[in-house]
Amino acid sequence: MLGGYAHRIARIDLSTGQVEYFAPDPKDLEMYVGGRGLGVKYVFENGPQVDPLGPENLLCIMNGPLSGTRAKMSGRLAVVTKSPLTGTVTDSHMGGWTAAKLKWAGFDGLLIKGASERPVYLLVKDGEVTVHDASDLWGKTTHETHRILRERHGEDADVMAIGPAGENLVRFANWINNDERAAGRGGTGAVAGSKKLKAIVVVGTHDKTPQPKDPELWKEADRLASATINDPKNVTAPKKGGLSLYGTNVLMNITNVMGALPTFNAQHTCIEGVEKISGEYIREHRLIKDNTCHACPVACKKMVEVHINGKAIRFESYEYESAWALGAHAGHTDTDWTGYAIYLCNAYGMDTIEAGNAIAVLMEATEKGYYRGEDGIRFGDKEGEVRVLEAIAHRKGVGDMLAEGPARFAKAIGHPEISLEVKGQSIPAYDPRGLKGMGIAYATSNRGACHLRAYTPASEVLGVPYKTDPLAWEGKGKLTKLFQDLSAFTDSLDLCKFSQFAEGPEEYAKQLAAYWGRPVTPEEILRIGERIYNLERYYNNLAGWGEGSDYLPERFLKEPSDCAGSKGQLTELDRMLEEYYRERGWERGVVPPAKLQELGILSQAAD
Amino acid sequence: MPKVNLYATFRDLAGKSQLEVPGATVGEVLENLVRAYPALKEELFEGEGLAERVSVFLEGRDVRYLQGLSTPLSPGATLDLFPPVAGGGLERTFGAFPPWLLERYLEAWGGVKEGEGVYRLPGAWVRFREVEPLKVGSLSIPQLRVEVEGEEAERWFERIAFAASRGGG
Repeated sequence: MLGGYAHRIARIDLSTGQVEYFAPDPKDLEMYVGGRGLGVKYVFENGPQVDPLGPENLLCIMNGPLSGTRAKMSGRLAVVTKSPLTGTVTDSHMGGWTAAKLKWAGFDGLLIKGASERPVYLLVKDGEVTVHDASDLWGKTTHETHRILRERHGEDADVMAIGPAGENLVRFANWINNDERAAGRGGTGAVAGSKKLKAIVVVGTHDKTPQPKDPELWKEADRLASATINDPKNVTAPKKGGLSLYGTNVLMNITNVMGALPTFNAQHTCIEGVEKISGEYIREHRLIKDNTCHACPVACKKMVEVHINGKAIRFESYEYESAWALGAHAGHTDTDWTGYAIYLCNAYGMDTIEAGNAIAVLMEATEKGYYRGEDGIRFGDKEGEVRVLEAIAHRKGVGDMLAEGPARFAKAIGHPEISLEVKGQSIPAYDPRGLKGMGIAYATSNRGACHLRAYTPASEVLGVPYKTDPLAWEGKGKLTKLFQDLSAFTDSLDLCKFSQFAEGPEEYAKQLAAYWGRPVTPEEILRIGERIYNLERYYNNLAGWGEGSDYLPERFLKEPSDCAGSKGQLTELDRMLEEYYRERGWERGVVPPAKLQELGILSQAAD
Repeated sequence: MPKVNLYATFRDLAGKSQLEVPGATVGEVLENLVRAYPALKEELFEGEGLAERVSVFLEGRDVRYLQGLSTPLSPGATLDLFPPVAGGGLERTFGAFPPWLLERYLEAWGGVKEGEGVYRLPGAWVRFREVEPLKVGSLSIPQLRVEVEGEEAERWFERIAFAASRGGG
């Protein structure tokens, strides 16, 4: 039996209230590991044709074989389902302690199906899952829900909840846990809302912490991983490295200088005054505390305090993507209003990236006269932005249209070109005219535009694992495949993406081998990642995303960048796609049967 | 006066591995270099421009991503000149890959330490050294330059590059 697992998954039918338990198939664990990979396998088996907001959709809450152990940066939890935003399979990950506590409660995952007639929450404790009435919680913010449920079940209880946005089926609603970490993208909170599932409470005890099958190998593996993460020269070095000191938002000034920061809905590629929403400025002027996640020495999380109309608001965290989406993308760099907008999105349970894109699209539509409603807003209107965010969460006025996602909104007003989306999901904070690799990464991401499937800025900006020219397209297809496969694997362990700034296939293989109790090669790591990526693509192909589905918004192909660093640049998507498909062995975005067989997917799928 | 380090076949052509060459830009230094060692001219230049297959590094940064031949040089600058990959040696600058970790891998693969930053593997030599970290905004990323030479260079280079695979997010 492979080590690291609780060997217990709960299958919960919210239509009937019935809960069953099963041990995951060892073959599935070897092929898909856990977290994202195993979740995708279960969502695939549930069928790619389901209505994402129908009771038949499957919502998977998964941890991995290293969750709950002392493996560094192992605090991530995967939420996997069919996305109501994109219609693709999607996975989104949150930090904090939820993943660890789920393991300590005796579980590798929860598979939730059906839909309750009344609001409910799940209590996960001592190897059992029970369904409880949540009528009193319906309508409450995520923060209120955390507080009430922790009062009820104890301060050690971990609570992940949806907010009013999830209840109102906002297609980019998310999950927020009591450490204010978000499983942000793809609308997994709306899937919960459609099932009337308000929250999941997890109570775990340390006696269920899994032990490595090979303790000697584990000592060596853990020592190596710790040494690379803590290496004082590395960006992950606690209290020394840039990622530890400033968090993700250390990138804001950098991408702005490179002309790679989409602003004013990507009509421009930089913005004046960006310093005011940067990690450096926040550290000096708004930081309260450096918080962290389970087993993480890096502590990239930043608790901050902003002031709005004389009122102090504390929240976590002033992330790069969030600050960009709700600040620069909306045409302003106001420290406090940007922070307040982030806080509100967390309270209502909405993805900050998609919400910021919704705001930016409405602003461009208003300024160009494409939207003429009284509740239209213009770039830089911070108070208007907050009004619209509230309207989205409660589906009022223009907020009701935007709650369908900026892509559907732009299409509905007859101007799909102003929505910066791929497969229905909007772009994050990197402009592919200034960072060409992001262009191919967005286009080929299996969950729609995304920076976390293949983080090419690692190479293009930070020189990891080797430096490439951000303005060159050559080689980016190959790089994207490597990053996609590596991330598909680490998302299945489920380790933080930041671990990749310090660890590689050798270090991951050693840690997994020590827990599994059988040899794992670095090559197997990438093979597993490739298998997961192909299974996701196969699911999407069957769900209707076939040839021609790997595209980019027209703006990046036709409107040149206007800022220093990337001035005059466009994205050479077709050339990169050709290189990428060659590396993948795909036919114009479709996985051929031979590839599915080669990776063991087809025979497995048929089992 | 700027220093120039030559690698692999460039050393044979010049008969030296390190020299001092006058010049205030990368272009001036290279022109003065080929004046003294004409055999290098064909290797370094294509017409007026830098040959595509040659790698010229200033403090660990490829000058192509700086200002090319116009990149200004301080009197204490060091340029590293690498011949094309097909010339028998392979090199790459890896980010976030500490030298102590590479040493561990090399030892695990049967490498023998021959000196500081020099290992002998079956059919290949590996040389590595830390170069100036890549500084981007408030971030500093350590850089390790690795060269592999010998009959089995390609195989070992691929293995090192695979082990050095990193990403981020």
